[in-house]
Amino acid sequence: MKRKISIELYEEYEKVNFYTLRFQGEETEFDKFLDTYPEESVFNDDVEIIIRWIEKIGAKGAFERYFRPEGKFNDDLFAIPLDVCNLRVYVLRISERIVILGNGGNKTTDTYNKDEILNSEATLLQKIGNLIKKSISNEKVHLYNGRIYGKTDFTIEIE
Amino acid sequence: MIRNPRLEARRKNIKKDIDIYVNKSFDMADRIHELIKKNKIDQRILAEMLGKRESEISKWLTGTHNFTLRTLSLIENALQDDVILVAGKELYKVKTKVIFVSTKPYQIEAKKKSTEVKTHGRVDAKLPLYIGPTTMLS
Repeated sequence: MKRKISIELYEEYEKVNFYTLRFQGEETEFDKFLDTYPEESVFNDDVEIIIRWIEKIGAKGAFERYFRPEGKFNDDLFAIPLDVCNLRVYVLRISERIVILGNGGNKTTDTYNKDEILNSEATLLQKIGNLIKKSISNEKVHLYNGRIYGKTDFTIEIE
Repeated sequence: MIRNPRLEARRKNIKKDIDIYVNKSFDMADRIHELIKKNKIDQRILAEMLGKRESEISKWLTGTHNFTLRTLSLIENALQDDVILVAGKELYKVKTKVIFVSTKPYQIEAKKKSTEVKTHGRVDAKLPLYIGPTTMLS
C-alpha cells in the first residue's frame, strides 16, 4: 500500500533542529509515541528522560556519541539511549544539526527486527533516510543551517 | 524558537529528580569524553585498558548511562583523573587550600584604578605581594 508522508519541523534549538514524520491525515510519529506513553504510564520517568535528552542534544549538538546505533552499517538509524529500561524511540540522525524523531516502543526482543511494531517503525525511518539521501544527491533536498529545504513530501510503499 | 505545545505541556510536570539525573549523566559523559581526549587515547584503547568491549564505552558516553560507583572508579583509575567529586569534604578542601599567590591580581586592580595609581606615582613592581583567595572562591 502506498502512503503519503511528510517531514515537518517539530522543535528547534540553538544547535539542533528536531523534525518528525506525519502520514497524511494522522498525528506525527513522535506524537503517537507520546500518546502511547502518557503521564500515567509506567514508562513516564523514561519519557521524561527522553524529553530532557532532546533539550540537552538541542543545546549541545547531535554528536554521534549521544545516540545508540540501531540500524545497519552506513544508515542513519539510531535510538535515543535509555540504559535503565527497554523503551526505544527511533531517530534519524541526518547531521550534527538535524534529527528526525520517529515512533518507538518497549523492546522486549533482543533485536527490533523480531518485534513487528518496532520493526515497522525502524524500517519506516530507514526508508525515509534513504529517500532523503537520494533527494540530496538529486538536489531535490538541501540541508542548510540545520534546516531541511526542498522536497519534504514522499510517497512510500508500506507493507 | 519553535516548541511543540504537547511536549511543552508535558515538560511542565517533569520531576526534579529526572532533571538532576539527566544533567549529571550528561556532565559525566562529557567529562569522560574530555578525559579520553586529554589522555590522547580513544574509546577502543580505553576499552582495552579496562578489559571491556568498545560498545560498553560507547554506552558510557551517551549521556543517559546509569553509572555504578564501581564503574566510575575503574574509569577514574584508568584515566588518572576525577570524573565526579563528592560534595562536602572535597569542596571544603578546595575552598580552604587553594590560594592565589601572584602580583597579577594587584596589577589588574591597579589598571582598573589607573588614575588613582598615577596620582600616587607608584609602579606595580613596587607594590606588595598579593596573597589571598581568588574572588571565585571568596
